[in-house]
Amino acid sequence: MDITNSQMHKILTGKQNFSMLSFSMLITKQKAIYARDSTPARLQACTDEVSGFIRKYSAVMRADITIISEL
Amino acid sequence: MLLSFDETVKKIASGQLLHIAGAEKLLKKLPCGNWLGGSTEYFMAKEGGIVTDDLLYVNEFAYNEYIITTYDADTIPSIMSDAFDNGFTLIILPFDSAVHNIYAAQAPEFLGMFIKNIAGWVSGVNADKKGQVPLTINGQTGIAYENMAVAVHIRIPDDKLVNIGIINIFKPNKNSPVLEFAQEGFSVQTCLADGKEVVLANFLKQNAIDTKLPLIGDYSGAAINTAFKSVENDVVEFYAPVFPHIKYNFSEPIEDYIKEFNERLSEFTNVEAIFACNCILNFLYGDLAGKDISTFFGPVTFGEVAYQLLNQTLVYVTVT
Repeated sequence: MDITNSQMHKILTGKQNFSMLSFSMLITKQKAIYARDSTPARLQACTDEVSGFIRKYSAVMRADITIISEL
Repeated sequence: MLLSFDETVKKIASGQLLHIAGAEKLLKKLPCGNWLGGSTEYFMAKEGGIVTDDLLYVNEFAYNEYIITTYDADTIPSIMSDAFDNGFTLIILPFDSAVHNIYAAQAPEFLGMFIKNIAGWVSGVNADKKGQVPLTINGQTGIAYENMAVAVHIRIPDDKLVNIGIINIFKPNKNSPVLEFAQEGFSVQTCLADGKEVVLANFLKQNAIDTKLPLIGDYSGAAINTAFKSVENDVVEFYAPVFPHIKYNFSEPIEDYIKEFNERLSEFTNVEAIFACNCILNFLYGDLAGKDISTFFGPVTFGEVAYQLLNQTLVYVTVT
C-alpha cells in the first residue's frame, strides 16, 4: 500500500496515534519538519518516506495501515 | 547470560559474534575476537538484579554477515547509512561523551533512521566506585574508548523481520499540565505548562513533583520517557534532551516497581529477545537488586537506544 499526499497531510497536521514504535517516531519527526516547512515538496518527501516504510513493514503494521486507510 | 571471565574467553574463542557488557577491568582483559562491549556493573539476569564486577553479560548472535565499527561525534550521523537494509544495528555509547550527546539530540534526523533498525545502550560506571569511566570496546581491535560509540551492523536473512520494542511502566498523569519546551536540550530553565510560561524548577517544587518519575513525551502514540537528572538553582537537567515539537506530561506515581514490571513483562512471556537492556534508574529507584524479573535479561544501562535515546525504559530486540 502506498500512502497518498492527502492522507499524509492529514497525518502531519492531525493527532493520530500509531502502535508501531518506529512508525510513531518517524511520524513525530516528520510532523516537526513539516511544521517548519509545509511546502508541497516537503509533503511529497514525507509521503515517499512513509510509503517506503509501509512497503517494508506492511506485514507487521496492519493496525497502523488500517488507521491510514481510514483517513 | 551472565558468564565468568573464563567462560567468556571460551565464547570469544568460538568465533561467534558476541555482545559483552561488564566491568571495565574485565572488558580490557578480554582477548580480541568478534565482539563489542561496554561498561556496566549492573545486570538483570535469571538470578535477579545483580551488581557485580566478576561476571560479564554475553549475548550470542547467530548471524554471519556483520560489521563491527566505531563512530565519533562527527561520523555518528552516517551510522544508518552503514546499516543493512534487512537487519539491525546494535550500538553502545559512552555516557556523557560528545558522541552520546550528538546521538541524543540528532538521531531522529539521521538519514535512514526508523526505516532501518537500531537498538543499544549507554555505558556507565559503578556509582559507588571512584575512578571509573564509561567505556566502549571494539573487540576486534581490543581498543577501548571513552569518546567513541561502537556498533555492529548485522544482516539477517531476507525472510526474517526485526522488531525493536520498549517496555515503559510509566503512564502520563491525567492531572498533569502539558509541558512544552522552546528549544531542544538536556538543560532547561523555563517551559510552557498548559501554555503559561513557568520556571520549571520552581514549578516542580511548588507542585511537589517527584523527579524520580520521568517526563513522558507523546510521540504519535508512543510514550517516550525523559528522566530528570538534577534540579539545582533554577536549572533542570535531564538524561536525554527534551524537544520543542513534543508535548510532555508528568508521570503517574508507581507504587510497586517490581509488581508493575512483572505485570508488564507477563504480556511478553512468549517473546524471545536476542537483546535486551534496562535502565539504571529503574534498577536503582525500583531497588531491583536481588529481585526477580521474569524475562528480558541483559545489562542495566545509563540510557537506552530504541532508534533514539530513551530513559527509564526497557528495550528489547526480536527477530522473527
